Amino acid sequence: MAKTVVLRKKKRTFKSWLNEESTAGYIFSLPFIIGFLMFMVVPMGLSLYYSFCKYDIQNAPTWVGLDNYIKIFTNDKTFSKALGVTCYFALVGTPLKVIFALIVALILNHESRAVGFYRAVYYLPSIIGGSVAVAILWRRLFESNGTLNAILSKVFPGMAGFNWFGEGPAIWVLIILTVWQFGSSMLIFLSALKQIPRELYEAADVDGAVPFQQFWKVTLPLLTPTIFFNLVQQTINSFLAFTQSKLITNGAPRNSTLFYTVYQYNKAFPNQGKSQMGYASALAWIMLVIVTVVTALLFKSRSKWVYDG
Amino acid sequence: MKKFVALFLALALALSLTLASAELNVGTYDPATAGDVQLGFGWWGNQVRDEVTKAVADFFTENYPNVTFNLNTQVWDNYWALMNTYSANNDLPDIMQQDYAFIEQWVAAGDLLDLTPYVESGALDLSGVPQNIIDTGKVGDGLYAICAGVNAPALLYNKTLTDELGITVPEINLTWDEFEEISRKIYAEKGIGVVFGQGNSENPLTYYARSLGYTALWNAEGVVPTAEEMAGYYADLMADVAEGWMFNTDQIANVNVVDLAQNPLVYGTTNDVRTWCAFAFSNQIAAFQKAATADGIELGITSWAAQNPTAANYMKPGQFFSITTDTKNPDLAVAFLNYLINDVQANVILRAERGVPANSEVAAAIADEVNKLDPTYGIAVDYLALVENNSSPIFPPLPSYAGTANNDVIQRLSDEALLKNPQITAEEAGQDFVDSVNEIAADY
Repeated sequence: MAKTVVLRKKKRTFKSWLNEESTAGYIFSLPFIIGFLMFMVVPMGLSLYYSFCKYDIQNAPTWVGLDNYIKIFTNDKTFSKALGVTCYFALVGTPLKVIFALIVALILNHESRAVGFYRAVYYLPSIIGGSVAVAILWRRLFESNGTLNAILSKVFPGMAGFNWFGEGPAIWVLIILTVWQFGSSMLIFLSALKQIPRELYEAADVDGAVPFQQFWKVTLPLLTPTIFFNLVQQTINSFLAFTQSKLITNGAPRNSTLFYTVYQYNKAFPNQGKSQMGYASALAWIMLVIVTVVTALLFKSRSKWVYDG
Repeated sequence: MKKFVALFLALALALSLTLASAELNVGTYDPATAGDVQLGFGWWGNQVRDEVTKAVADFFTENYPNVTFNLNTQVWDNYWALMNTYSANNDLPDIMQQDYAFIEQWVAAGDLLDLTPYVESGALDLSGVPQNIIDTGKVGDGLYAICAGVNAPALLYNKTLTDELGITVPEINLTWDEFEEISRKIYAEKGIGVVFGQGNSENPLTYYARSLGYTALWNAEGVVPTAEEMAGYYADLMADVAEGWMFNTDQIANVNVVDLAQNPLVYGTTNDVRTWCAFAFSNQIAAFQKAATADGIELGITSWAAQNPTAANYMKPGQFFSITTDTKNPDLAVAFLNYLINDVQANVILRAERGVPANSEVAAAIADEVNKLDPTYGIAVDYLALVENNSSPIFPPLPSYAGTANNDVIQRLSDEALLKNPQITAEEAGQDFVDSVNEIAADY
């Protein structure tokens, strides 16, 4: 009895503190915690403050209250235009991308030696992502006498010299790019497909279900959680998309491809004149609210169509 | 053999420069006493400018090995955004290129060093620079910028093409009617039109306002001409787009006019994105010609088209060199600035790419040497001599809101006016322009 008391009273040295499991945990998570504080919490706090200021980054911010927000909602046509373009891009591009990823995943869901190769090939576009090289490639592909028109005009002679960068088609140049980068969604679908129990297909076979019925009644319902995950992730990504618009079209023509984030960037870092950092910060906070609402709506719809077993 | 000759000439030049380089013209401060320091130097530019500016900095280092350079070059569109962020961190390069358009904004932000004391002490020698050129770098009582070279608005055009079609472009004083007539003819024969590439710049509007008899487009309060008068500017563009030869917003959406090497005057795979002329500045002929040579195009130069060209045209300090308040070695930076402005060898290396040197003695001394290096220099000098007698005094520096108005108003309205089927009338565009700019001016 006395022995245990002695043990409890043993001095808590620095070394023993270091050896505690929770200390190791804190130390290992420290890089993240520091990064999170420095690159997320502090900048977000600052940006919230700046959103109520007139701030040009060369001079000290001055408090203007709700002025920025009022101006955005009452007297900024570009805001509504950019928001419209972004919503269009997100609401059209995301489902297309997810559907495309699903189709390719279904095709690649076979046991064959070539499949591994194809998986890698189809994943490649997602890795090179929104780089400058891809932007240049894309501009050349879609030029009026570019590769795409050369191929299309063989089938549809009317397509020769078609101007993809005009108002209307231009946003589709960006949508096609995002659909092309379906790799990560595809990989998630592939692993989900692998987890569907074989027995279910065998049972469906016994019941006489044709492949389409098997897909419709077995595969799709069991994939809905994955579809949901991909949809949420890609929707958020689409709302925050930046590089495609900035590098390929820079919003032209007539802001018809101006993503919200690019508009925000142009306000914060204009190519001429003073920065409007306060205004840009207000735009950012409005975007945060919009993304939150859209995500909440998606989650709300979950119970209606996602099969949770 | 040709290569050998070129190499020999380059070596001979380098040798003659090194031999002659015992004394660089650096003013009264001796850079050798500065210790081991690095000077930051930032500019916007093009490939030719990047090469010559790097060479001029290297030459300084050769003479003063204790001074090295951190060079930072951007294209115009990225330059200001980047410098703005540096400014926020008090991390601007010691020497930055500045522009007549935005100097007031930068002085107001307290980023530029007043050079008056250095001129008074003799550290910065401006005796060779004409007073009217020195004055362009003044804001209030302070001198914040030194002219890096004189230039003028210049319409650079594809002379190979106009010669082929037997079209004579006037040497200067191109009227808007002549411009339209030439454009129509070229478009009819070759399908090459005009890419009006100044969408986000006040320059063509200023030119238009001056052509009407005003000195400037705008002042601190707002737009000077009336809405009806500005409607005329948009009406011209709309009429030209309707004729087909001025390319519309959709056609030029994928065209890059800022990077000279990609400008449709010298680059493009089909005629419907090629232009026969570019609204540029006289010093840019060097970089444009360098890009055009690959396509076998020779460039010509004339003034921008206007109803009244002599009222509209002007001589302009092309760029400025300014010393920023973030510098830790102001004396050394001033010595380097003095070298850039007054040293003959430095200006041979710089090849007058930024415009004809402001120091008239230097300009005369380098003429032969630079002409040998770059034949376009003579063309630019001849053109400037014509402009001198066919122009009006320059407008005052732009009000500080100008950059914002360029991005938010001028770009939007020129996109609208250049639409194939415009959704607003010229009158509405003129009214919108005046109202929107005045609103920005009031709120700045």
